[in-house]
Amino acid sequence: MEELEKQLKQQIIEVLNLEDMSPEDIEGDAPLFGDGLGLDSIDALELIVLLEKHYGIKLSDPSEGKAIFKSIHTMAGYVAAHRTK
Amino acid sequence: MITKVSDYIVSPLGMGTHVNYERVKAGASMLRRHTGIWDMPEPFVASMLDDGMIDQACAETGISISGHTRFERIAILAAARAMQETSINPQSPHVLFVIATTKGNVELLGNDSTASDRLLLPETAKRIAGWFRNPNEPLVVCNACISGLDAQLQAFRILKTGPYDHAVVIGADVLSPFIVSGFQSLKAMSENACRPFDEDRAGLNLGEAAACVIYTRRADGQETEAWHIACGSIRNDAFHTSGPSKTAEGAYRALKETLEEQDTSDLAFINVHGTATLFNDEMEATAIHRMGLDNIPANGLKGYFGHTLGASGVLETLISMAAVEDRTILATKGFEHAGVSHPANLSGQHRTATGNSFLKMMSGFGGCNACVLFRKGVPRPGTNTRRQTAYAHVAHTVRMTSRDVSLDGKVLPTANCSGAAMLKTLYHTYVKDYPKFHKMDLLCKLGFIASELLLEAEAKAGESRRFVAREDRAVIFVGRSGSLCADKSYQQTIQCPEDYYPSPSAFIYTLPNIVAGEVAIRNHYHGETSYLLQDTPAQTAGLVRQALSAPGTESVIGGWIEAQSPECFEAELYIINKEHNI
Repeated sequence: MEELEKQLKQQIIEVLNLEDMSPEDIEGDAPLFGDGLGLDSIDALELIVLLEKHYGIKLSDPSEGKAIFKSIHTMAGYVAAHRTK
Repeated sequence: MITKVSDYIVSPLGMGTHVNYERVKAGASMLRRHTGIWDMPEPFVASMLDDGMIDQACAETGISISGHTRFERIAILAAARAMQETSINPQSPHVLFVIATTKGNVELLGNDSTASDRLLLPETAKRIAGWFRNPNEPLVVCNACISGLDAQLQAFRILKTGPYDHAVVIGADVLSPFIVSGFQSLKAMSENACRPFDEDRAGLNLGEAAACVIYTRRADGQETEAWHIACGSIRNDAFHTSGPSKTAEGAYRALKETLEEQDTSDLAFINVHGTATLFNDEMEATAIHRMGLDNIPANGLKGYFGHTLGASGVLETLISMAAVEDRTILATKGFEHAGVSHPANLSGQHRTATGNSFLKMMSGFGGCNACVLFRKGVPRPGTNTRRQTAYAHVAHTVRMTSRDVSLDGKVLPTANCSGAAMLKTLYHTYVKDYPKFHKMDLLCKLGFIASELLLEAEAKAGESRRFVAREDRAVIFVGRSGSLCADKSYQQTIQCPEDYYPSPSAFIYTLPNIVAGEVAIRNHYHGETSYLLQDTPAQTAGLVRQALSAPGTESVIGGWIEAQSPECFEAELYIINKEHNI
């Protein structure tokens, strides 16, 4: 799981162009949206693309993303349980 | 006095404004589910033009099918048919073509096409105006979904200040995998026919159309009873590039500025944007409520035509004009039970209209909102007749190329960097604390850095404080390539069927007006924002200065901004302020 979390952090930084950040800057349980990394609604949609592209997970309802993208922990848990690639 | 003299609609519902109006009144819609076309992996609901109908009409009008793209054909068709009803000679230097579109010929990107010049909107516009042998450089308005209304306001201002007597305003867009996949990636599309303002609304449908309206300047004393723009304004949310303000900041301010000093006793209805996305309709209801217009009947037309993008501002204006003349408030097709948090005076049935004016509202990505009051009749005193000349002085100027940058004539150090690397260096030297910069496309990075340098210079000179919200400053950019770099980046995410992952963030930047929105967001500017395109910068200063003639605008930050590639770009931006003492 630790490896998956690290991989997710790197992918998030790359996909969302968080250029001034490194994986160590992202706490596993810190909120990704709002006060955390300050991500917005377009970032959330981009994370949905990330799930599909890298892990074969298709979210048809974007509102599902709210719970999944709460933190790196929740995201990694969801990916581990639902990944198809 | 500037009045409408002719118009024409080309839509899937038929040819001509009257035909379209009658079909709408009969409740017709060409919204259909499309499965498998263009090898799109997911079906979508849209209102699409029948190529047979278009080709036949082109043949009748003498428009070469092989020589023009689909987009160009419908744009020429709408304008040619509108022109037929007038005695205007399009070859006259007193006629200007103004073209509103969001994506023009972008579908050519998907083909391995050699016609790359056709991807440039000024080139496409020249072909359209060229069909009429018009000698003037056309103006392209690319301001997301408000383009059609913005183009009418631009035409109105240009006619007011001269030297043109007639403006042929064409709004047009055609659909392609590029546009459909982009809206799908934003999860903005409904799987069924859209339901504006309804509690069960689930997103928008796209549509194809072209609509043309011709405005003419008449000499004072020759006023006749005709449709005219009583007042109109554009305001920005200064909130987000794709999500509307929760307090409807821009739409409310656009409404307020438009209705300032206007008599609304003859207002027949408000024709809303009504895309049927959750956020848009809620925002519009909030704006109308804040303005105290809850009781005025409102309606939306997307259930008949879908969202026709650059065409919608012209098309929906023309249908609304026909409805006022027919004393009808058209039903909002798809609407049953209100699903917005303020009282909304909409109906799924036609109602009787009283009054000779209507308000048209639109909102778009980049945070832009437009509102125009159209009225039929002899203009009232003080309306639309005065020739305003805005005197301006240039406060600061920044010039950038991909190799150097100068501010007010002084060269700035760039650490021997060039191209995109130079922009990054400038960011780390002069800005530092706005990580959103890294997410922007090249055009936005260029506009952002250039505007930061300008505004810092202004603040240092003690002329203005930074980051103080203001509505009296507009952001008006002019360029040639528009968002072509971003278009190519987005196309890469959909080009290969095995690696088809449309990127929502890349798609947002395929609208060039986002650069004006980014500057508005950064600086809390609620004034007008727009992006215009021409082949050369020759008329840029005039276009930027013209924005000063808009009500409520005292200052403009704008100029030429052109991003061809990360290695080749240029910008010349300035701040101009209205001069009061002349």
